[in-house]
Amino acid sequence: MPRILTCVKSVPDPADEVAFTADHTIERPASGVVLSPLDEYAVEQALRLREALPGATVSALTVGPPPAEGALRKALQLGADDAYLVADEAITGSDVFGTVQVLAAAVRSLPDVAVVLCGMSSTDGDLGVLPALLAEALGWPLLSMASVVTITETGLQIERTDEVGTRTVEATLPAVVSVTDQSGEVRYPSFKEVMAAKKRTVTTLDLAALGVEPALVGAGAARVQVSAVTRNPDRPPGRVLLDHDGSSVDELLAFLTAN
Amino acid sequence: MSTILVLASLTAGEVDSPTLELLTLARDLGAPVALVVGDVPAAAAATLGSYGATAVHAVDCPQLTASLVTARAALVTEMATATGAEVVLVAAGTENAEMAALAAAGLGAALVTDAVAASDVDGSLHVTKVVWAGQHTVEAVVQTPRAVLTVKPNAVAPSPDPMGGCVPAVETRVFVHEAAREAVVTALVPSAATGGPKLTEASVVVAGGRGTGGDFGAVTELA
Repeated sequence: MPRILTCVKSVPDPADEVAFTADHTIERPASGVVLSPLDEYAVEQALRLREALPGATVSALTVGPPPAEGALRKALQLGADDAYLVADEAITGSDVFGTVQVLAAAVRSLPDVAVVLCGMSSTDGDLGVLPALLAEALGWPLLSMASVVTITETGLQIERTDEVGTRTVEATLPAVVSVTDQSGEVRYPSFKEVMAAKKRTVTTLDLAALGVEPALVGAGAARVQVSAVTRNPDRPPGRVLLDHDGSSVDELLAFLTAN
Repeated sequence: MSTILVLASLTAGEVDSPTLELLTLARDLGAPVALVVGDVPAAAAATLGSYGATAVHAVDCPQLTASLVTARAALVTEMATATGAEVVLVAAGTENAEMAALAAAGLGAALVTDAVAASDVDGSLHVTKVVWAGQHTVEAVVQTPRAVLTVKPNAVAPSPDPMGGCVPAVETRVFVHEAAREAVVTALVPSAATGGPKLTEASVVVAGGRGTGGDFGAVTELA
């Protein structure tokens, strides 16, 4: 009964202006957090793998304060079978290294995990490195930034396109996979799934349940401390030159020479 | 003085412009040492020296092509340890971000991606980056003895080292990456090179629209 585990994150709505707290962390109000848009692709990929693997189930996992459950509820509505929230005061202010420790412990605590799926990056932190660090912590192969995911006889194969070119990469299971926004359209939750999701369980875990030392996570363990966050002035709108009679050429040349 | 390991890139045997930017930044932080994955022609070694590299390490690794990111990360981690580097500088990018993170994990070092500035302030490494699509500038202080930074192109203006005249000796070695169970790259279709500067490295971008009718001659000339 292979378990496909999707890591998701609750983030401030990317359409809103972000706010920072006094200690320079992002404000995460109970309302106004959404399932990170790039993680929807990870959930979609998990559902597609479930359709292809007999007996497979999809679990969603997130680390965050209680409002982070919102991301899990959305994953359940999309079709995940169950969900897990790791919430603990001691996790507050964790950097990516701390977060990975918690996620790895959670993955290890769940039986039969065959694939861990992640989005390509979060829309708030925007590092894009968590999947690589998670694979390293688990000692599993990394298949990251996939635009295509295929099941093979021996495991999984992905296609990845980046600055280097397009690579085909294969690995045996269990493995960590991250998918990009090019990996396939995210389905709309059907009314049936949304209703069924209400009955599915969200299990809450804490550091003690996972056996993670609080000293290894949280703001105190973070390898970088933010000292200041400043709002930059909005960029002035660019000048648009409209041309009816060819005179804009002189204006354009004057602008380019001056700048 | 701190040793700053710069992951240097060559394109067609020549040092690329992000590398010159990294070396310029490295001089502000300590003594730069260049790491090249592959061969270093004599002219490239001279360029690295003229931008401040006090030593050049040319390291090859037979496992690179088949490895997605782990072999390169292990190579950088090994060389950072071997050179005693306090800071590792790498050009920003998807490929490099993952590699930098794994190197930081291996070194127990701090990681900052997409840095636009870095400086030594009373023995602490201060790093600046921009977040939330350019809306906010963040100043941060590294808490660990070592750090790995990926640096955005065009954030630092490259300048030759006024004191850099010697061509540094190139030390070559082969790094063998032994992996447990890892992903294997089975095919690669390289991205086609257009011959111009990379979009992510350009400081000015000139765009043409429908009015060009498909002929970009005039646009290219303007650029």
